Amino acid sequence: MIRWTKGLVLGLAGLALIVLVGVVAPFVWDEAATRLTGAAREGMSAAHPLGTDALGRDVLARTLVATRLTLVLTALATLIAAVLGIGLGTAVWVSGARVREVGLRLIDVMVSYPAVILALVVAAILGAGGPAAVVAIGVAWSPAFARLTANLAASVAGRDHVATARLLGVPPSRILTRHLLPNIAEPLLVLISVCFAGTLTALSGLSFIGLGVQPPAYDWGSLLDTGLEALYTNPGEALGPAIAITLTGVLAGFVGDGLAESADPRRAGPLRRTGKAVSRAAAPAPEVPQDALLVAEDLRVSRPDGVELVAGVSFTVRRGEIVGIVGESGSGKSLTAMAVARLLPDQVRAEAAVLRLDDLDLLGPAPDRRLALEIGVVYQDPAASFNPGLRMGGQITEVLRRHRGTGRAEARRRAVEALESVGVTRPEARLRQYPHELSGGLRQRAMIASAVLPGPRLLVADEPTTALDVTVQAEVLALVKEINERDGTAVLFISHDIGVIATLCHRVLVMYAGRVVEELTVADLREGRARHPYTRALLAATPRLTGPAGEPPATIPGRPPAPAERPSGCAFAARCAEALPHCAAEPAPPVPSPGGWAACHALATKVSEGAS
Amino acid sequence: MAGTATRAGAAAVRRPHPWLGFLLRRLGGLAAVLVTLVVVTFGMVQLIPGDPARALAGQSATEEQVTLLRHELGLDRPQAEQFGSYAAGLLRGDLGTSFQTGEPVAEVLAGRLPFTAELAFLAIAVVLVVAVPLGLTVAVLTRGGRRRRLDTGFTFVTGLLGAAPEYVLGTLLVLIFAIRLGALPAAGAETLSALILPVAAVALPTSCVLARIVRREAAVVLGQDYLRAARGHRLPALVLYGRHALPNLLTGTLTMGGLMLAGLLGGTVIVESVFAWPGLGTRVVEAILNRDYPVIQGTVLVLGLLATLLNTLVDILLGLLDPRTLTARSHP
Amino acid sequence: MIRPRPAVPAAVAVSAVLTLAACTTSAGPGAGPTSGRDGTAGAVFRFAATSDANTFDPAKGTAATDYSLARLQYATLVNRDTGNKIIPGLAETWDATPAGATFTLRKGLTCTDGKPLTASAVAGSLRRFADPKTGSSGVVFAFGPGAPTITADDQAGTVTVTLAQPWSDLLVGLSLTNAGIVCPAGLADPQALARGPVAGAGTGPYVLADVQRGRSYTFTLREGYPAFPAYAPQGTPPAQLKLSVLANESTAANQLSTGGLDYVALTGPDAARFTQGGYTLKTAPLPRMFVVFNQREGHPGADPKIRKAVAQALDPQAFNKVFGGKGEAMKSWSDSTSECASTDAALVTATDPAAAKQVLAGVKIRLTGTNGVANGSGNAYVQEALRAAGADVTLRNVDNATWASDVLADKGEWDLTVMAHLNFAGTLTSGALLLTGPPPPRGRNFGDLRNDAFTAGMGKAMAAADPAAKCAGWAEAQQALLGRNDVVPLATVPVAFVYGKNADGAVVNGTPDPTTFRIKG
Repeated sequence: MIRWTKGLVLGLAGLALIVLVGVVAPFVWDEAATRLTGAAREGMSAAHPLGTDALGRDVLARTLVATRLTLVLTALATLIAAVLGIGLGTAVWVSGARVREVGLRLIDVMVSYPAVILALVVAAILGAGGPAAVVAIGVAWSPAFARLTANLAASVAGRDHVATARLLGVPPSRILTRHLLPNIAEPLLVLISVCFAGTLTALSGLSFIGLGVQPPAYDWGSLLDTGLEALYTNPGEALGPAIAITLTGVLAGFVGDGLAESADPRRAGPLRRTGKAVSRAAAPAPEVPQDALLVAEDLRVSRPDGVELVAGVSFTVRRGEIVGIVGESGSGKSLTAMAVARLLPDQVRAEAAVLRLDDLDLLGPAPDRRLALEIGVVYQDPAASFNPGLRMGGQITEVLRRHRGTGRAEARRRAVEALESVGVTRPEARLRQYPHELSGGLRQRAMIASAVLPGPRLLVADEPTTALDVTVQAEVLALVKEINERDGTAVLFISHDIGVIATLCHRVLVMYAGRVVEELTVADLREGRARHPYTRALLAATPRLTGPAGEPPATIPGRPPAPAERPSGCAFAARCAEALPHCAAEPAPPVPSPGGWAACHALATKVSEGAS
Repeated sequence: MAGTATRAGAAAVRRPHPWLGFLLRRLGGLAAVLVTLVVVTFGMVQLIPGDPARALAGQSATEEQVTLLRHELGLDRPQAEQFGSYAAGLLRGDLGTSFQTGEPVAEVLAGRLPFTAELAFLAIAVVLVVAVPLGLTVAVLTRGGRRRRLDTGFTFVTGLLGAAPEYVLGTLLVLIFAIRLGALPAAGAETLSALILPVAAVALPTSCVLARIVRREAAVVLGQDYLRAARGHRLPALVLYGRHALPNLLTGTLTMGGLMLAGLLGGTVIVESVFAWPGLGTRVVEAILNRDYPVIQGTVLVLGLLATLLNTLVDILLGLLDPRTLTARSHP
Repeated sequence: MIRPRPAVPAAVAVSAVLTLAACTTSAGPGAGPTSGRDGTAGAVFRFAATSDANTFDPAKGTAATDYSLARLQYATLVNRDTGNKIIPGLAETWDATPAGATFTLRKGLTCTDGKPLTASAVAGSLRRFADPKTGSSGVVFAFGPGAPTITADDQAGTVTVTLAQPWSDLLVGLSLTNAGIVCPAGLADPQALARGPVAGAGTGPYVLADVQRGRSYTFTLREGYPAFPAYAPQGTPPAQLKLSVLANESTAANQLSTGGLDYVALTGPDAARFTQGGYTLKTAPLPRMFVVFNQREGHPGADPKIRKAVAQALDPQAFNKVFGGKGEAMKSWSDSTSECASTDAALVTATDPAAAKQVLAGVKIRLTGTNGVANGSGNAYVQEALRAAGADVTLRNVDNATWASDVLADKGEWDLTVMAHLNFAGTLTSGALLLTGPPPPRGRNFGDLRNDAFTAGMGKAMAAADPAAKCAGWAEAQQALLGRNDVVPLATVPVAFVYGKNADGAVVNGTPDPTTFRIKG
């Protein structure tokens, strides 16, 4: 999917305009561009805005007319480079191992072949002129495409679905068109636009050396070349083609940047401010227990366009308590956790009435030292959350060393202890290893060790088990529980898996579409005393807890609404079997229960009916 | 290959040293590159139309004189024989003799390469010193869509300088700094100050191109989970970006830098011409126009060798920065 | 206009002109002109060449840089002055007829190692020059077809050249650098002579002291050199000459304007930068441009009617404008500065596009030209003009090497070429040699012209005993050639020779003679 950024639109619009000139100019100005006026090498004047060339021809007209040939040559050269390079780069990956080895070596050779000299030799072989220049530049650029394609294809070809397709005997051509090309199209598009800009200057460079387009044909390069000769007598002669080349290059660059930007999902949307939490007047807060460690009241996380991803969440975590937040992806549970840890992505901003960790106000300019020492974070993907370029030891001990001023040896000793305590074997050796040398389970243990090493008061665990297989999951859960019990560390545990939450947590918050819809004790959860239709649907979808053996788990029909399309009332109404007519329109009132509350119109109606 | 990389943990334990396999593969690759360069280049120069002897003999030469010259150059022998003696010479370390000037090709290269290398290395050093901090800083400052104006300005200026043909830039530099201001020499390679303008003309557009790449890569690195984890360590900006972002950024940047440098060694032709820099580029253009086969072949061979060595060097650096790359079989 | 390519093949190399360089007296580019105002020894004159030397052997030189190197190191028996008159060189006097000449050497000539230069040594050098095994392309200019006999009398200090057949260009030919005299020390090892300076080999006013191949050559002046040409301009011979290889003309012009050079040759519009400000500007034609037809069977040029129509379609004045209009529209295959060259418009077919159209309509013509001169824009003019006359013209603009192979050696498919003739000798003979005799591969007659009247006229000119008879012969030859439209004269392309504020030098036969570079003071 290409997103239309401003640069991309500007670049494409500009290029379209230039293409238009290229199409039209030869019809309109050809006569002016070739007529010998007899006034050779005249300066700029009203009749000739950029002056005339050595034969007395109008430079402006020639520059405009040259647009077509220049664009055609540049596009052809780019095409040759792309077709040759991408063809070779992908062919290598869809063929057998031996051919691939040879092909990769061949690409090595191509890359090592001096491109400029290759272009010169090719131009010499074919005889100076447009076709030679096109082939020369195209051939010279193709190794870049081949290398990039091979590298990209390597990563895609290693993916499971491609490997599976190959095992199933899907023919190479189909693997190529179905699996390889679509997955690497965007970086290639970027390279094509870069190549286009590069080809443009390379073609003019060939003209400078005398191997470019030959008279009577002329492109911007050859115009610039002859124009530069007259730089001191009529700068206009060089000015026109120089501007044309540069402008087109800049526009192609814009297109490249725009494509690259839209290919990068992390830079989605125009973004304005960072996510430092800002206090604002809020709805009346629920009562805060005496031993509350973390207090969040009316926490909101919003996109720059004002759409709220988390829409007023209030909760507390008591000392030594494990609070779970459960919900489908997109429910805002991870954003809530990251807002607490003050690690929100740059694109979103958070605000709250209250957000504090004991006496530390998380809305103000909290000192780095306290944040680092008092909040430990365990991330979802242990493979991605360790820096691949640094050894484990340095990363695990970093907080201790920087914020506690612990010495190197002492920090390592404590890191070894911490690793041992989370069940990592050969801890000394692990510290010297790089993240990629550890298995996924080991990495997550190490991450937990790293998070608890400074002795945090709150551990924020953002889906720490999602990326792990089931046996490792159980070990990690046991580890979190152990740390909680041993050190009294409070835990805010995020998961989409209600089963996981049920085995670990003391108290559970159920989030749906940016709001907490139910809060309940784990005992109520386990024993099926959930009251909100969504929570019950979630439980029904989880086989281990409620479903009778042999009966397939029920699925929840439909999908959660997108953040911008959430109704003002209950967002679950559209999928809810018990929905009442006013559900979606009016905010659901919280209905208290012994261990928590649930926000549901149907429930409120039932309760009031029961009461009356 | 990707499979190899993911199994790297196991591989690292099994193999005595990942560097050994890496170096062996590279040596094999080098040999293949050299053989291909020699064969392909020899074949290609033969395809260039035009007779070297005729080109060398001058307008008024008789065919007799041309034939004599052809014999002296060994061009009257069958091509297979010519290749045989050329290859045999290479094995003895003899790159042949220039048709045009009668100099040993090794001497031609020894006289020219240092100038090109000086220009290329200085330029690439300037490029790295300018582009990497610039790209990273801009990426940090405009992260998450902040400072749109800086963003636009950066994109525009680097786009403009990156898209301007280098000889236009070179000519403008001469016009401003040599002719108008008289501050720097217009051409030549005699004084140290004569280096400034050619290096600038090569480095300026390249820096701009690379700064954009760095900035783009940096934006990706800044969005990585491990950088969020590092932010969770609440580090000062310099440590955060210097220690956690920069090395990962360098992977791509160094690969690009290596390729750029390799390109520059044979690709400063135009700047050499503008500044009368006595480098290899202008020499090889002359050789092509004069059909001076041995010089073309020798230049391609030496530049190809250098490019391969540079890529290997870059890969070694990358291996030091990120050991995962060692076990991948092609370059990352 | 003539585009100095970063590298120009020896063959056509207009830029070759540039090779004959310039001079600067300043010590460094930033230092400003410090040129030997006082004329003392130590003054440096800097000049530039567009391409590197091909050889250090004067006999084997084929391009302008070779000629510069040879001129400075190896003196010739005779020289020409700025008016093309033969003046003394190593020989003080001579006695010449079309059949040969006897030269009396100056007294006290020495080689660069101080050993005396004897008559037999001079004869030895000339015999080696004339030897077909040496392969010097200048031999034919000096001695014509056939091998000369060269003898010496050391007692009398005379050298006698006896020609196999009459050749009135002998003195002109011996004034060219290919005929430069090499001392015995150089003749002992011709291969070393080609590779670099050989101690004691030189006979000229300068010694090549430092060689940086492809970059620069430094020459030092010999103390008390006796054989300077008499026509040198006022000033002091520089104690040092430094020739730099500068491929790009604009770069050289920049160097001149910032004081980094004392002399440059400019073919393009850069010359306009030096019309003021104390520079000395001299111009001379170098390439003489004319159309040559492929007259072999089956080519359109074999038909006299088509040749005439092509001549009618082309306008030398318009062609001249392509190169800035500063050249001379020629009436022969060389311009009016060449001895005996016709300036009679009546001999040349008049421009008449209307008449041309009746013949040329639909005629297919393959035009091959070199891009070595002004990027081949002259070729483009010819194409446009013939196209306007209805011909179907395909133009191949190729580099010099390809053009030399395709056209001069007749290995390619061509019907018509715009000959960019580098007339270094400045004579009619030089061009005429390409238009007579056997075709390639045996001879130089690449268009396969069969014009017996022309050959006869040329024979008369070469056998003439006096200038009037010589010109009468050439007149016959030119009339015969132009009457059949075997060539279509176009124009010269002028080169501007620009000297810095304190520099000067003589332009001889279209090129500056570097031995005449002087520092004014």
